[in-house]
Amino acid sequence: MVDLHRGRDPDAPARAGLLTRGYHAILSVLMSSGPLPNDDPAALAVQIREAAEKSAAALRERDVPIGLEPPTVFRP
Amino acid sequence: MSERAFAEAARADRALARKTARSPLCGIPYGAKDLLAAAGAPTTWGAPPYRDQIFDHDATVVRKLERAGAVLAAKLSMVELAGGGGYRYPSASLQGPGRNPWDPERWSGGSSSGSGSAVGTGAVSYAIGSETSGSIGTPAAFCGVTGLRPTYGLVSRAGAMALSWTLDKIGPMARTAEDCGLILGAIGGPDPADATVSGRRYRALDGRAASGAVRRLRIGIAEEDLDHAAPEAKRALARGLAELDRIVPRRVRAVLPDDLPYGPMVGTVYGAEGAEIFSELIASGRVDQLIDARQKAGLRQGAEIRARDYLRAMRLRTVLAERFRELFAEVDVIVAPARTSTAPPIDAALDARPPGAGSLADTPRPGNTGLIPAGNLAGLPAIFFPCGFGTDGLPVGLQLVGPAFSEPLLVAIVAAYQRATDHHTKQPPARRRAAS
Repeated sequence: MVDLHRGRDPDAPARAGLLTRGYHAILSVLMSSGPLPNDDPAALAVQIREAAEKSAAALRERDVPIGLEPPTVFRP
Repeated sequence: MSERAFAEAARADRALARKTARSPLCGIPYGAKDLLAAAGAPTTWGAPPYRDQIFDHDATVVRKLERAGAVLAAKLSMVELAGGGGYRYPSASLQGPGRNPWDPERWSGGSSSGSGSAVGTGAVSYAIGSETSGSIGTPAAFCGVTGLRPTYGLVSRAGAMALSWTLDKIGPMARTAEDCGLILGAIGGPDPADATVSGRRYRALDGRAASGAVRRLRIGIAEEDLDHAAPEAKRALARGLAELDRIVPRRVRAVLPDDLPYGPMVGTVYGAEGAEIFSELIASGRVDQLIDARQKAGLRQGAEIRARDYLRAMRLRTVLAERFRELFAEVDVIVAPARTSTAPPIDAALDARPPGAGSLADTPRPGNTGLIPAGNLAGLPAIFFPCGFGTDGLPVGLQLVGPAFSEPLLVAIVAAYQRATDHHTKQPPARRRAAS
């Protein structure tokens, strides 16, 4: 028996499962309104730019051999 | 949406009645992360600028599941644009913060927030999520469900919102590893609509092969990983590792190379690719309709990433892939905490360190704390599974990462673990009340 059937009779019609679990009920579980915090965009932009510069520096300080290629998915 | 669900359910009923059902998924309701197109239904990508978006076609995974007789019962909420610009708060979603099945005042994780919640509450038997770097693993860990991030190229992304062409993966979230395997078997495999698909399929190991493989394998671990765990999670993680020891007795020390900047690598790759994918959104100013201020600023900053930095990050992925090959010559899989803390409050800033948690800056031994970005950069599969509860009553979990296309082994290990333990059978209070 596969576990996907847990909680319902595996021989019961699929539609019955849908009716009891209902699409609308699912949405009410998942969608919720919460606090919408408001961060200062200017301060955030500075913070993010600084983090990006640090990140770029960390990448650049790592030497790579001249023959090293990036992975590619290009298939002509 | 509901019409489609009823039509698919009726079709499944007929197939079951005629005994022509071809898949164990036939008739089973599931939910799809709202970045997957489903013809005629809203596909909002969790983001206000796309609140009215409707496609006239199905994503390949939705089509494959329909072919298996599955019933698409819900589109599941998600962090806006899968969090591509970065986000500071769980509220970064058109549908509001994903609430945790174990405590609605805690977050369900992201970016597959609704997928974790819906499986955790039992609203659906399984869900489809996606991971660019951590978006299946985090909600699986926080909600106490099992999630499988497939090898890059095993599952088609056609019809899914792209955040990063070279990192995005689509995978199942369910109650057990065996369920994840069943779903992966249905959604994986060839698809001419996605050039990155390898054409390989998932095939489960048979019982004897699975138990032999699990008994023989060598599991890699960095013991210092527990030093980074938050106090509420530490004991359950240690107990979970001890339980796994009884399933896989051969433990070998294995540590990721410490000379690769995993965070900057993954952030640069999805930052640059995401900013290009959403370039029209950024240029038009509609990016300001997004909810999270960090997300807006992060997407804009992504457009400033230099080609040389993106290419350096990509070249370092080649180095990382080689390092993983060396590591997997010594061990078969690597185990680490899925997350080092339990789910945070829904109104907390996500960049605030949990109280009492160790910081990487405090220790010279990072262990395998970079396993999520490293595994994603290398395109490797991972399985995330519950291993108990923290002292705050919230789920904690472990992750196993293996070589490319080792999903059958990962599923076999966790299936053996789940046969020997009952963490995955625990139900959150609301679900227990509904069942009684």
